[in-house]
Amino acid sequence: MGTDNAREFSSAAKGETLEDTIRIVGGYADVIVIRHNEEGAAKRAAAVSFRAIINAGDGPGQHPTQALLDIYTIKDELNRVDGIKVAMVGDLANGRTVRSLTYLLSKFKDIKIWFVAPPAVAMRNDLKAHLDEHHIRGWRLKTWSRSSRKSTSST
Amino acid sequence: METEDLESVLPEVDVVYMTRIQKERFADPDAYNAVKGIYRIDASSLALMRKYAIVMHPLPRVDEIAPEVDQDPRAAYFRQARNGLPVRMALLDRLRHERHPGRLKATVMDADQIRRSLSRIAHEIVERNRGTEDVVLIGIVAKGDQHRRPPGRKLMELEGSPVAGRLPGRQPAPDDRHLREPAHRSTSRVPEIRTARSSVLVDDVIHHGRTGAPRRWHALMDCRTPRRLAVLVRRSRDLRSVCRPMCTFGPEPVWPLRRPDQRARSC
Repeated sequence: MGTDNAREFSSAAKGETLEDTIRIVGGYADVIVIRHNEEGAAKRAAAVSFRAIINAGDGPGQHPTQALLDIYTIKDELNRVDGIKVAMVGDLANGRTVRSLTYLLSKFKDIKIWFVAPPAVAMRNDLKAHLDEHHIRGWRLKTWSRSSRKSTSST
Repeated sequence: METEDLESVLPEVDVVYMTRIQKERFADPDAYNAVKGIYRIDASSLALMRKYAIVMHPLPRVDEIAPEVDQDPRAAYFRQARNGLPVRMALLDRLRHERHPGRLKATVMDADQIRRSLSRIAHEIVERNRGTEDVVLIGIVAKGDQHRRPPGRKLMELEGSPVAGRLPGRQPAPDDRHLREPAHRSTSRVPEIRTARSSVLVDDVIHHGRTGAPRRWHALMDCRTPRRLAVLVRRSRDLRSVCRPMCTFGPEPVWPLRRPDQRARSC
């Protein structure tokens, strides 16, 4: 089932809530893949759905299937995931793929992560707190010379 | 670590994960213009990176990776994008089996049996070649290349040194054409193929119903005549006949990956 532009041509345009849409679609499908422009949409869908929900990207929130294929790619290219050093570069505040990949990497051993971003779009604190909890090494242990030392976050 | 200085990080890392600055997420166009295009991977950034590091990108890219980077073997983003299909297939398949376990037709081998088979194959390769120094594992595109990895890892566990090798071959099978690898992934990346004395071709005949081994054999002969050639195929009872022609070019007995309940039977 599909519509080219759900914001204009779907029941959502008529004011149907996401929860109701999921209940209806669940009657037709075995698996619901949801890509939504709001963070947390997949979670709301999963709360009411009796079908499996796959989050295919919820706004600036998460993009778990991309993270799975990213891990698969790392394993395929480098033949390991444990012990790797990763630089995440660019828009880390809105980049949902980076957020999911960072979360998934925290499940592996001895991962070191550098977040390279301008302060305006730096990695948000929720994930940084998660990394601290999981003792991701390297992340904030090392200090850089000059420019980077200035920008190292104190949080 | 958080930093704004990409260049200082490049020599350190195994993976450079680039992202697009997403215009649609900025309410204020000035804020977007202030940060757009500040990070860019180009030839000079590649020069700073480790030899075996990779550049990844979820795509679409705009200008954060220069087109000249595409030619570098470290540019992994198109291979990464290609991995999206099998990973999502596996995810959907897993959900389907969770919901309807009865729909699974038959389990040919469970995880433990596969582990034991791999272990047996690896030991056999080590015994026959007295180690793995002269051995090269060659995956036949495209599935064979994936199947060569598990025995390769097992051999590495046994011998402590990596056993490498892949050979896309000169002529891809008709249905493999869309998967043709860029030149840098070809034999040039595995010089061991030319010096190895023993080669193991790995292929998957379950998905294709036939093996590309014969045509790869000629490609292999272009490199160097190996002392011994063995073919390792994943096979099922139904596909026995498909495996048969491979005997015609193997000077040594082949090592079929047999079902544990199947009696020893040469191809």
